[in-house]
Amino acid sequence: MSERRLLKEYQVVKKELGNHKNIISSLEPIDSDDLTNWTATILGPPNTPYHGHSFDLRIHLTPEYPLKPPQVTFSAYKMPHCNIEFKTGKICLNILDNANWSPVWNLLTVVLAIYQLLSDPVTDSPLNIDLSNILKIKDTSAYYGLIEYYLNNKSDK
Amino acid sequence: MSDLECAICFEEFKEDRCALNPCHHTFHLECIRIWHSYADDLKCPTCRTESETITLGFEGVSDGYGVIINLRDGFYVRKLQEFSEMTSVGQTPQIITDFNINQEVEEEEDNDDNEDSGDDHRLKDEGSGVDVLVNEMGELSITENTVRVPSTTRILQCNICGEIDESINECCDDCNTLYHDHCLRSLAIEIFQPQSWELCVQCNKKLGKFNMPGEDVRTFNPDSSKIVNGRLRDKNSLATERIYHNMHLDEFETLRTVKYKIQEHVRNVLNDFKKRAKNKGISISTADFIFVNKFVSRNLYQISEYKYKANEIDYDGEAKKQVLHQLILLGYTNI
Ligand SMILES: [Zn+2]
Ligand SMILES: [Zn+2]
Ligand SMILES: [Zn+2]
Ligand SMILES: [Zn+2]
Repeated sequence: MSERRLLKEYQVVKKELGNHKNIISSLEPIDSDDLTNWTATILGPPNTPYHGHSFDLRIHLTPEYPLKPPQVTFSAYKMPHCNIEFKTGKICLNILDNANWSPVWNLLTVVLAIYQLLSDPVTDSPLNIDLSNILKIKDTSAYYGLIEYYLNNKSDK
Repeated sequence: MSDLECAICFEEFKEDRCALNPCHHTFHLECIRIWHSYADDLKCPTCRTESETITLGFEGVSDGYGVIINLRDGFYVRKLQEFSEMTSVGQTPQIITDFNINQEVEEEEDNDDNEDSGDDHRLKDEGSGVDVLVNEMGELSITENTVRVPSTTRILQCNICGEIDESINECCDDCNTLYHDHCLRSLAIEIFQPQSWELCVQCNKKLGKFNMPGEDVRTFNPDSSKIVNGRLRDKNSLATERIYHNMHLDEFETLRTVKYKIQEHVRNVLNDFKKRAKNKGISISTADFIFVNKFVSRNLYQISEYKYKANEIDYDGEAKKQVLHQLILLGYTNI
């Protein structure tokens, strides 16, 4: 199933990516001969501290895809977010768990879901404790401030 | 995504479209069954509604035939034509609900002693089985709570690993048992008789090549099979236990290790007996060796409650007792 479906997805992405220009600035295989490793760039959503920045994702599709979810990570030390581990880029998002994944989802839906996560951080399952704590006490200026600090300083690492 | 495509593989539908009930989302039968074997539940991938049944022959409904698979209780089939006739004259359609394979098989499993001896009779049961998934829709008919199917129907299932797939390639012309060649080879190596892989485990005859038939013909044999989450499995395979107990992969791995450790005791004991027998000029046949190995391992496995308890259970001693007993029952009286 996997190989033919990857080709189909490639076509779907090519066809539909244009509809999401304001969200995904690129989504393509790293090497056009290998449809199992992809990279994506998403834009920071408006009304979030990420606005004006862009973020790179790495997507790996295992041989079991689409029966198992894709493995998606942000670049390490680039993404300060309550559900993303800063030093690895690991993402905590329910649809990327085996138990919640559905084979009807595809690369585009996954990337769009991650974009959505940037606007809607979930404090219940934090991978970044500092940000989650600030969010919990609803200290917006500290939240913006800390993220901007991360984005402008720490991410040079 | 268009309605003419399967949302799992993104390919167009041809004849093999099926619908989940009650939500009526459609997929290729193969795609949704593969997904069911991966998922922990029977939820529809599109809308997450828990599925109860699958209707096959989705386009064929107008021809009057279809097959409904009950995903939890096993399989049942019925003519959609009869169904619509009944509903059109205002009768309540009689759905075959007491046709529950899981229950039947589980009861049998409780008196475990018969399990292996049952293997020998498996062929006599063939064709008389009632519990079948069939795709040759025109040939199905129903009488009351029983489903009759053509006697040619067979499940194509490897006798060793219990998987049903297209790579089954060895067949015994004598007893019709099917195997993967790789399963035969690893079994032969396990019993230290690497050359024996070309022989039928059931009857010891030389195996022939098996070619998958084009049409979908399947049989259910309750002695060796079991339906778990609507999937037909070898009753004793590890994969079945994994699905049946709804275990996660790491627990499954532990289970495999436990089984392996226990089997090792039995195999060592059996090999000692084999050497001893050889010194006395008696040779234990491969089929008997496999039978005793399987039988005693399973007993010890059950005594251990699926855990490896080397401190509490004297596996070697217990294995010796049971192996000797089984060998004597098989006629190796002088051992
Ligand atoms: Zn499909
Ligand atoms: Zn549905
Ligand atoms: Zn096999
Ligand atoms: Zn045979």
